[in-house]
Amino acid sequence: MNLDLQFTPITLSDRCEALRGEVRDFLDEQRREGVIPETLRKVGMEYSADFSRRLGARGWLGWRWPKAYGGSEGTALERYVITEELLAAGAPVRAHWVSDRQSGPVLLTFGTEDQRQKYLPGVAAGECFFCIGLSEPNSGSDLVSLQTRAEKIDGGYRITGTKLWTSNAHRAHYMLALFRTSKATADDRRAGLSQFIVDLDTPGIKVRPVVNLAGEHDFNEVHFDGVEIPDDCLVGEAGMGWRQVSAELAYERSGPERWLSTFHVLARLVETLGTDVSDETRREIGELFVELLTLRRMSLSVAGTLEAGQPPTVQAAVVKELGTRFEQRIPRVAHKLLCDCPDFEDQDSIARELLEHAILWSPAFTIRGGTTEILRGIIARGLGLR
Amino acid sequence: MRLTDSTQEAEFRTYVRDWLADNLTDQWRRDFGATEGRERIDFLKDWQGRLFDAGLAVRSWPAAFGGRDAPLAESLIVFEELANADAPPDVFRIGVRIIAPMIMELASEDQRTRFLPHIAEGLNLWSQGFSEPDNGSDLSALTTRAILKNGKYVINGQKVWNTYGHLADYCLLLARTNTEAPPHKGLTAFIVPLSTRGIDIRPLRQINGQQDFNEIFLDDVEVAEDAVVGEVDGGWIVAMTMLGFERRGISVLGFACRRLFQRLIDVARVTSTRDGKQRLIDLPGVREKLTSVGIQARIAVLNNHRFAAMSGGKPGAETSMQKLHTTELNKTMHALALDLMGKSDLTDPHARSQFSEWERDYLTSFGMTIAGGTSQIQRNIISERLLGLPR
Amino acid sequence: MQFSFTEDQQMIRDTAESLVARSCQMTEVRAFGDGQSDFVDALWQDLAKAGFNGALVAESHGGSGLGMLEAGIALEALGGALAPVPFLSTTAVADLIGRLGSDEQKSRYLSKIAAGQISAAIVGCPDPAHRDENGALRGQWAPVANAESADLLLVVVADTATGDADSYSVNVIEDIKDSCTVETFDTMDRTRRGFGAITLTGAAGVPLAGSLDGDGYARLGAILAAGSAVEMLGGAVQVLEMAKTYAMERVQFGRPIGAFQAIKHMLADQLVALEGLRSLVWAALWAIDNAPEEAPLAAATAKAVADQVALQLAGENIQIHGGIGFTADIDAHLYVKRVQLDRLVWGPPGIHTDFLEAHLEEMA
Repeated sequence: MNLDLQFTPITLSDRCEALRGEVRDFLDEQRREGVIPETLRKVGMEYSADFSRRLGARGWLGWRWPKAYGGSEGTALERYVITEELLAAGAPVRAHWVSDRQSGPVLLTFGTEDQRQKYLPGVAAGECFFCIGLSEPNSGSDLVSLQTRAEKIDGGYRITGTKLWTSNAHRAHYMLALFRTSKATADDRRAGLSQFIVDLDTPGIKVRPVVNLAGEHDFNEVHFDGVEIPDDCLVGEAGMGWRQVSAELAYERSGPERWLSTFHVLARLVETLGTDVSDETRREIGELFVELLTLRRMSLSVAGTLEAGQPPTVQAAVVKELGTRFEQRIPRVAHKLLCDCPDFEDQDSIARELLEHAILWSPAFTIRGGTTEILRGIIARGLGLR
Repeated sequence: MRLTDSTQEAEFRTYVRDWLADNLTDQWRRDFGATEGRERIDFLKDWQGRLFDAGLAVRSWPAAFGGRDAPLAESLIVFEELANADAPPDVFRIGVRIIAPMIMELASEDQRTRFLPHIAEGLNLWSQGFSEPDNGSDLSALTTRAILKNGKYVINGQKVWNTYGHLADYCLLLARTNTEAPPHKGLTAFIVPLSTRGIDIRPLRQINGQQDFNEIFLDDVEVAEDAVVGEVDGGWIVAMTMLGFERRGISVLGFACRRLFQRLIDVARVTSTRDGKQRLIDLPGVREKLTSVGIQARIAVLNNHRFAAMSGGKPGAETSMQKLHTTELNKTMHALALDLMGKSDLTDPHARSQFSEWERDYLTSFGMTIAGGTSQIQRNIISERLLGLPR
Repeated sequence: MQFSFTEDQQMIRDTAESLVARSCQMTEVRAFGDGQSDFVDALWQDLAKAGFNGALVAESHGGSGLGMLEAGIALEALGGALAPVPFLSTTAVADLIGRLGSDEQKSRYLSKIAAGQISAAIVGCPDPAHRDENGALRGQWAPVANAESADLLLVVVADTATGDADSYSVNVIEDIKDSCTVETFDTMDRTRRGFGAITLTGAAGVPLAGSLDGDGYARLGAILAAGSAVEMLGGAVQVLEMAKTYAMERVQFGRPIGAFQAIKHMLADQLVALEGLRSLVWAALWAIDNAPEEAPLAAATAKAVADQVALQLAGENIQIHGGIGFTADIDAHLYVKRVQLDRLVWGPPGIHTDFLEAHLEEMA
């Protein structure tokens, strides 16, 4: 067994902390202008194209990218600080989140110069939004078994099949998708997949809403009915899609949004309970904070690994595995403690609304972006057990 | 549905309690509790004999084999009352509760007559020879070999985790008689007297300091053909039958769990925190943990009764649920015991000696989630046999 | 001991299951969530005709004269089907009226309850109402099951005037909207509607002839706790079945996901938890009918474990389903939402565990 897994401790530089101050000032301003709500009644990220544009205008999207593509050539740790502040403030970052976190980096690493020039500046400006086209009805955890075909035609590809769980496909401009360009082989299930950029305005694409259990429209099913896209939509090498997506998934799993989703419930809980609480309550809240701060340190380490140019595959899986179960624990504990609170029913309807939304969304945390069970398999592999 | 004793059951329970009050004191624990070896076994053999004479041992066995044909409910009453009275451990459980029921089902008439009476009365101690160093959970792949030569079987190989082998008279041994057939179809069960030449028994030191189990080395050990139990190459069904009864036997731990809960309450009541200011049982954290294990102990006892009503005499896969639940609960409760004792003032010699006893039992609890099919194997059995999930 | 159902009880079980399968189908439950409630009256009538509504009503008043065990059999089936009927509140009220009502009060209500003509709600257990310095009834409760549609509201009132800590009167309110403020309490559980926040505004209703002592109050608490626990058991049985079926059908990595130990072992642990809950639930219901001094502890244990196990199984059912579990396309979410309400409606979460902790030494 291999116990090499490292979470190198990180100390943030003065530059990082100064940047944190700037982001907080910006967020205060956005709150004053009503772009960010004063009080949060929901968990997760809200969608605001306006906010994304404002953030882009401040230069805080595409932070690590070369300036030539609209980036700021900053560090991964600085980016960590920016995203942490945005999430802690409950800023409406949904519209650009995926594009900035993973679609852009994929294009930077694997895209052509033309592709970088075409898409990255728009993403960095917070005006161009991507969604992710990976899962399919019969290919969830077993992603490589996907079937949506990209058949080579003259000058391009013809796409036939269905993608599922595509969040925001109804609002995004582009999809960064994984399609099958050739058959997998007996000894290589991962062969035959390729990555493409699909303009969601292309004729033949049908987006069907899939309502989640909170009654919200976030997910979609996207049908491709012989949709034709040009050659220059191929990202990287044909057949090398899995390798590219693996790197992408490490980005997807690496950020503080994997343990901060229900942070506001915790913050609100502490506010509502006040300081005159039992020892038991103190202990429970203390335990939650211990976990929170530990996860934060681990998450910073992951950012450090990204900074060093290494894919943090196993570390990110560990943080996500712990973090998403932590996200589920907060509403459970909050529910228990608040129900014991004699005035809770009368007074704090906002806390109740927030808590209820968190309870509704809880099941999703350990499913989306790789289920707990899949993550444990990745960790086991990292330990040399598979 | 009736969750109380019937009149008949209540009378029987009173009889058992009275008998225990007259025949059992704590003295045995002082004399033999921490020791091993011949003296302890002799005492326990005597104890088994007295249980038999009182009609308490093997009560649900057919009368023809020394039992009383009593309903399972009466056996459960015996187990419950023995647990409540902190009775001596049942070292005969392997023979009485695992091997004997299998002999009744699968052995020859001659073998039944020869062996069952002595098992019932505690005249013979039996052990089980299944696991090998390379074959524990994956039992069917075992390699100890038995070859028929000149009318005798010659056995070579090695067994491990053999409980009481160093004190037992007989071993129910599983060996490979056929290397052509699929692994689980090439095994045969043998009754092997442990005094046979060629058997070398080496004790293994357990983490609780005891040496109840052994490695057994078999070097050209010869047994007669009539030592075969069941069919030649038909040993797998013998093993599976015994494992089913073993799980049922371990599930009696449910009653012991409730008794353990009572003891934990007692400890928490009489023990103070180190500053002497509070009883442990008044600490909120302690109450919470005790409540949690108390609930599970109640479940264990209720399950014993409900599952007994379900399966009648023949244990089904539900015994895997009992085994998994009670052995894990037993472990949790012993860890809690150490937690409680750890809160007490260990400068007091009495507290220290109690702590040592709990330490030993705590360590023993680790063996129980492994022996008789690990908790992980039990989960496989539960999911495959009770839920029908694919292997 | 004979911890199994008798033949009669097994027959009642079969009747309940087939009745619910016929009269409470999932398509109707889903439609109910969207506002259509046509089938609910028919279901309530079918239950009454089969004698279930009158389980705790004496035969002399048109009931079946059975016990809480038999009522529990119906509740398990109803819970499993996510039925939107106020069976538990009405049953608990029937029991109270039968024990405490005058002949006139019993005649007034019991046969109608047994015949499925009226339904009831109940408040005050836990958290009894009290009288203010002017003798007016005061109390506030939320969420109250069936608050909006009940024909009768029973209010358990602590009789502090008598100086006896364990004395309660029970008032019957027929004109609920006139006697209290009922505010709609919209919850995530769309399989039941009509939860309300009830505030007494002083009007009393009519007290039942008899009053409750400590044992009587404890019996009521046990009926509500054990009744809720058996309903939740019904739901837990269904979600385990759903998860198991999906694990056998869903193929990923070339085999059913149920072949992977991560899923297998999760389901095995679920089954062990479910069987433990089952033992507790039936023991509690039996105790209510046969060993009343044991019932409060038994019922609190059943409910404390139901609150935890039902939630665990409902949540893991979603986890096993993966992405689709998080949509409204399958029924998994309905069970999670229902459990969340079940954990609230008969007392705040943790109240039963608190009771057990307070009575720890009796548990031994």
